[in-house]
Amino acid sequence: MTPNNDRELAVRAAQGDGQAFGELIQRYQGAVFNVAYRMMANAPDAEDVTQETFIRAYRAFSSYDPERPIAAWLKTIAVRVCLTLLSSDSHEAFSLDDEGQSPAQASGDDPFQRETDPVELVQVGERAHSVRQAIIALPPQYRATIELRHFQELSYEEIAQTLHCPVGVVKINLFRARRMLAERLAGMQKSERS
Amino acid sequence: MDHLTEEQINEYVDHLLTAAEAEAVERHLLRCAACQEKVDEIQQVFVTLADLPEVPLQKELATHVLRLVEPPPTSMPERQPTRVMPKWVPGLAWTIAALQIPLAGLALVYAWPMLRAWQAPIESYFRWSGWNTSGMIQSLLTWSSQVQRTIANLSTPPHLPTWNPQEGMLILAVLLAAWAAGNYLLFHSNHTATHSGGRYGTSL
Repeated sequence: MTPNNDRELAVRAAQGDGQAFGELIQRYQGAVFNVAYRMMANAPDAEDVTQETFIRAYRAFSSYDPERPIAAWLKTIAVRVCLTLLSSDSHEAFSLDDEGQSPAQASGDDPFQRETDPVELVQVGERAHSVRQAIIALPPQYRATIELRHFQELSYEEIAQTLHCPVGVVKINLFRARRMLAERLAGMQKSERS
Repeated sequence: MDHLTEEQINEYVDHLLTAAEAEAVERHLLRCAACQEKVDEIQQVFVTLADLPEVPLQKELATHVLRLVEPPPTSMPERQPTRVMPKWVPGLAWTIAALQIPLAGLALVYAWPMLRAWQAPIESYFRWSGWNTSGMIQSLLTWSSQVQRTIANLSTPPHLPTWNPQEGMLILAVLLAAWAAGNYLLFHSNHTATHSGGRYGTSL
């Protein structure tokens, strides 16, 4: 019998069925990769995050609720993995109170300027590249909040649970992140027109 | 005129306000260009993010991830079904081990007189090697005799049989056999418990 739904695959994977887990990876590796790509802004890091997300998921299947969509569960794990990676010593550190530029911007070392991904430029286009540039300029917690609200469509309360912070902090981060994005996007539109 | 707060604007665009609250915000927006501009900017963020296209993953990760999370196929032979140790064996092993100490002491007391016959050659050997052991051996023989007399006085019937060297050797052989059997059982009991990891129970 060929399993054809996520729930059945997830239950089998939770029981140690490698084949079922492999099928889940194949189904959702693209979605998880895109979460990571929005958060990390480069393909190698995003691939690492995707791989780590599935490894963590495999080890945490005992805590997975089969009634919850597996894709949503995997994506929230991916956001947490990204935040862990971004807060580690090897990545830029951001302050929650930092409403201005990221350290990369402040130093003039914008990751998109530094390392322009040719795949991104060719396949997605300059406009998407600019939007990603605006996202990656946000502090990691803001990025995570935007990701969870706009791309994963979680409620404020769900975001708070995912990021282990009060709902009030989620609101503030979301408002500030949107304001920063709006300003950057407005600036981009002006430069496009000129 | 009071402007809308950041929270009101965001909850309005997130459709989190009640109908009455949303209506109040919309009434305000009709007459406040500044707040309307802020709302437009936030809504433009919504549209821009929604239009962001997905990026294809260039690699196939499933095989690699599975290799990392699943234990590699072992080249070791499958664990053979093992005989299950009877429950009484460990208890017997520990009993024998506990008896070994007094039995060994008793054996030493009764076996020691046999060394009388070997006293001369032993002394000769140690004398040849430069050691003067006659005093030490004599002291041990005296102590052994005293212990035998004490035991004989305490025993019922009042006198323990006096064994000749051949009988002493036989007793010593029996005690050694018991000692070896006890150690064998203990070793296997501990060895099995250590290597089974508790998964297969106690087995030989």
